[in-house]
Amino acid sequence: MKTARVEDANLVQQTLAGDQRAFQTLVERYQGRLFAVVRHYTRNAVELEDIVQETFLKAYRRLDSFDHRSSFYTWIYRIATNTVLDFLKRRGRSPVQAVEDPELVGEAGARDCPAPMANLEARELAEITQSVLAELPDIFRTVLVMREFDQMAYQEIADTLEISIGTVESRLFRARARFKDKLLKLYPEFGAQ
Amino acid sequence: MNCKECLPLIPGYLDDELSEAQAAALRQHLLDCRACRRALSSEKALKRWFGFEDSLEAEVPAGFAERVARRAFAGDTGEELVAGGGRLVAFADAGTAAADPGLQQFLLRVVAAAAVLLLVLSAWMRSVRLPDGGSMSATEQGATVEELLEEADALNAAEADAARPALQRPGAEDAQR
Repeated sequence: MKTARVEDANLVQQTLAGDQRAFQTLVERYQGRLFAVVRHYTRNAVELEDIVQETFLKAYRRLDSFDHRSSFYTWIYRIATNTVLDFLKRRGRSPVQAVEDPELVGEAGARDCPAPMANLEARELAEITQSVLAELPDIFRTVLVMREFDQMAYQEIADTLEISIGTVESRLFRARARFKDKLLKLYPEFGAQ
Repeated sequence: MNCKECLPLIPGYLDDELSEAQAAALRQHLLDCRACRRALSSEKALKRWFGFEDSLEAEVPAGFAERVARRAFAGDTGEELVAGGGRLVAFADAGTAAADPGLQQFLLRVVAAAAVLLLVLSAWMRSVRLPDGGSMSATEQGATVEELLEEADALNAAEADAARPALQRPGAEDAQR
């Protein structure tokens, strides 16, 4: 039985040989995951589709540089992340906001995170989480999304963002603390449980 | 291990990213420290929030893969898609258009130009002479104030002459004789 990685490698070769249908199959394989990732950065359906589409178009243009050392998904995920960061930069949010900003550091871990209320629907909770996430600086949102929603290992995050594991740990730690603070600021009712 | 060393390791512990030695030291500390156990349970609660968020399924538009493959093979670079204008604006709803900085800049410039135009128009309208009582005068246009005064004096003198009694006129006595 062929593994997904071998299948991807074949599809890449066929695409490079001019097989449009093979590229369409590659897109079909990963479109769901990329839409799931990118929707953490924009809630606008048109922007979401455009970012994912640009990701695949960039991947197609650079396909001959894909060296198969990583999985196709890791490779295209990196393209998606860069596309998203470019998009956010153009939209006015700086993804390189200083990590050492004292306001950003805060007293991480000092506050308790309220547990989600049992009487709320999963969809409502999801929307609350997404709105809190949207408030975070991009450097923090990026690592949180990679870790919490795409279940990436610290090393994968480090490779994708081209930062050290120590920086990943530090950003994640601060990102979680910021998430808790924002959650309680935006929805203080959760703090009164 | 103390609390200061323990707290930053808790997320990595829950993410299964610690070495066995680190995890063992952390577990030992957690057994002894109520505050850090509380921090651990807070981190677990946080993870539940992310779990809910992840339960939302992303919807892929119908025919997306086919469209993308067709565009790729047609040589479409896709660069204009998220480059701050172009298609995003063309296909966006009002909310998206408002969020687009390029469009916002353009709209601001249009509004500023309109404001300047209005100012110029209002200044011009002020300078234009509006009809007033003077324009309804029966006097000949183009006469100076001095000419008008002289004309008025002449008329007054003529009226005074006409109103004076005949006897007082020069030569009136001789005429009576």
